[in-house]
Amino acid sequence: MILAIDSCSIILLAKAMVLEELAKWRKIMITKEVFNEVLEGKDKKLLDALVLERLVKERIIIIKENINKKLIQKFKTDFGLGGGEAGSIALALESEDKAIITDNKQGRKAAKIQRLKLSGSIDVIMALYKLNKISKEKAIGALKVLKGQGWFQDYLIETALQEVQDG
Amino acid sequence: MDKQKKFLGARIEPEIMEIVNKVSEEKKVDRTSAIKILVSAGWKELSLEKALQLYKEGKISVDKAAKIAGLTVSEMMNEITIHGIKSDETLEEYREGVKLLMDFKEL
Repeated sequence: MILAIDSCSIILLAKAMVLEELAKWRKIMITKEVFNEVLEGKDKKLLDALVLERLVKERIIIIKENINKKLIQKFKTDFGLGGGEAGSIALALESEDKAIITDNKQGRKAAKIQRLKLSGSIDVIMALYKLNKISKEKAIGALKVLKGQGWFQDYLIETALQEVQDG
Repeated sequence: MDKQKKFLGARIEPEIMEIVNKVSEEKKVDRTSAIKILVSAGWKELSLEKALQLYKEGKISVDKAAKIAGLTVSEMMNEITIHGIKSDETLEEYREGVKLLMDFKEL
């Protein structure tokens, strides 16, 4: 199975230190545009940029090129998406499993309309934990990083944290 | 004079002139340079404001917002959280997202 992932979720999962675990567990594909968007932080030595660069170099995450340009343009126009997000939706649509990880509001809206299977960063951490791919301590640490980022609604992170603590 | 540069004459209010003078003093530059600094900073602020508003209204994605604001995606995400805009993922979507990942076949 193949999962497409956008810049937003790569950045969040890399900060939470679970991007590598996800990529070793599931086949992750990104577009060149997503790679470039995240790597813009390389000069500032941002963790997400450095982690993604290494994972692509080691071919743990694969860059998919030659994605349907008309489809990308359509998503840019129809949903106000940037090149990375539009490409990620197109990539997911072209893949057999039609699944995407995105925490981007507008990306999630587009994914739902396109009837893609949808997941997000909190969901990734919980799935990794439930299937014993990461320890309880690592899951709690990752969720606390996401909480600190302030991207998600507090109740959602608190629910996930409680579920991990309850085992 | 640099042929690429354009001349712009403008009448400005005393309070605006006061700002220009302050920046000129603080940055130790002439008033023309001070105006350039202020216009550039103002443009960045306006672009960020526009990007945040469009993102909040659900009209554009984070990467598009970053392009409008002249920031990296990571920097734009920081601005979005600083301004208190949260993901709208629901509890039901979270449960479905976990199930989706767990139900997929192993590599």
